[in-house]
Amino acid sequence: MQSKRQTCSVSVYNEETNTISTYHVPVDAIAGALAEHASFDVPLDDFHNRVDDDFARRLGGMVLLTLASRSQFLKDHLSITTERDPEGPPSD
Amino acid sequence: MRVELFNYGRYRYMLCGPSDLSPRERYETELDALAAGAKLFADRNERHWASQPEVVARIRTFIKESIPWHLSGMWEDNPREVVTCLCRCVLDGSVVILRAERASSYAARSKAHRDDLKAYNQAIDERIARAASALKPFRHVETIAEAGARNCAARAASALLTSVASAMPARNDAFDLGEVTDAGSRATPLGDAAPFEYSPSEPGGDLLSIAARGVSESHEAECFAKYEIDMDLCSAGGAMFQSPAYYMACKARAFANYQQCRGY
Repeated sequence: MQSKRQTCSVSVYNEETNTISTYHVPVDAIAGALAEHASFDVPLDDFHNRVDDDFARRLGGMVLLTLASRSQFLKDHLSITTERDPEGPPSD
Repeated sequence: MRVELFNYGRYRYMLCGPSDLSPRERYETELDALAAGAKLFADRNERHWASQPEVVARIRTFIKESIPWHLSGMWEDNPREVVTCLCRCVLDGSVVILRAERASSYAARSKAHRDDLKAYNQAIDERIARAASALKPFRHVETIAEAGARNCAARAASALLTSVASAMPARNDAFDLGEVTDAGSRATPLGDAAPFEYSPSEPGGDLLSIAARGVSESHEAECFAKYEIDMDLCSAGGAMFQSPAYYMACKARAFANYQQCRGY
């Protein structure tokens, strides 16, 4: 049960300073922006609530790939292991 | 004043007074032009010139505009006399014949540009006209306010009929109240109301911008930009997580948002 105000994490890559800044802000502060955009939902049940290194790698990789979609510099410097093409044929 | 005498292929032969030429020095091209004009004059056939009414008309125009005093010197106003008059003037040097490049290049280019611009302006005018006519209500579409007023009227009519019905106990059984509930969908006292007209004094009535909402190009572009941002996230997540279901769900949300943004 959540007792505190719900928050979210926002990561910003600044190409000028070449820095990734991560913010921790109340959800309702950016509720307007969230309502206008799609979310990528990952139910933790699918991972049996095991939020381990692999999960962190995937989540962090997603954030970095998202930021890199708007920065060629970051894209050029990514060295991340990804899954296959999401719209490609299923792996099994 | 310069007037065209003949027009052969790529060259035009112009009649001009000495003042039409540059005052002292002659440029090489001008000397060539003068020599060619002199050659044309030397090879002239006055009878042939006089037999072409449009040539005679041009010569007469030139004489009238540039050396009108020579007109009065003519014995009679006939084609042959006009040509003779011109030849006399060329011989005494008061008129020169100059060969000029055919004015095709620049004139044709500028005409093409003018035509282009005209077509472009016309296309814009048509688009504006189309947009204007698209904004004109071509048939009356009921607004929410009007629908509310209609419902109020229907309820009032219904209440009135009910009170009339209850005031006539003897006719109670025969009175068909079913008609009353139908009143909303039938002709009402507001049915012949004046059609909706745009009036600038309507409160909050920036009608143009409201009408354009959801269809303007900038709004479409904004919606698409958001969709692209969403799809970047979906692709990134899809690349990192094994389940295609996450990706598909994200994509579906992105598309739903996009459609909602565009007003669909």
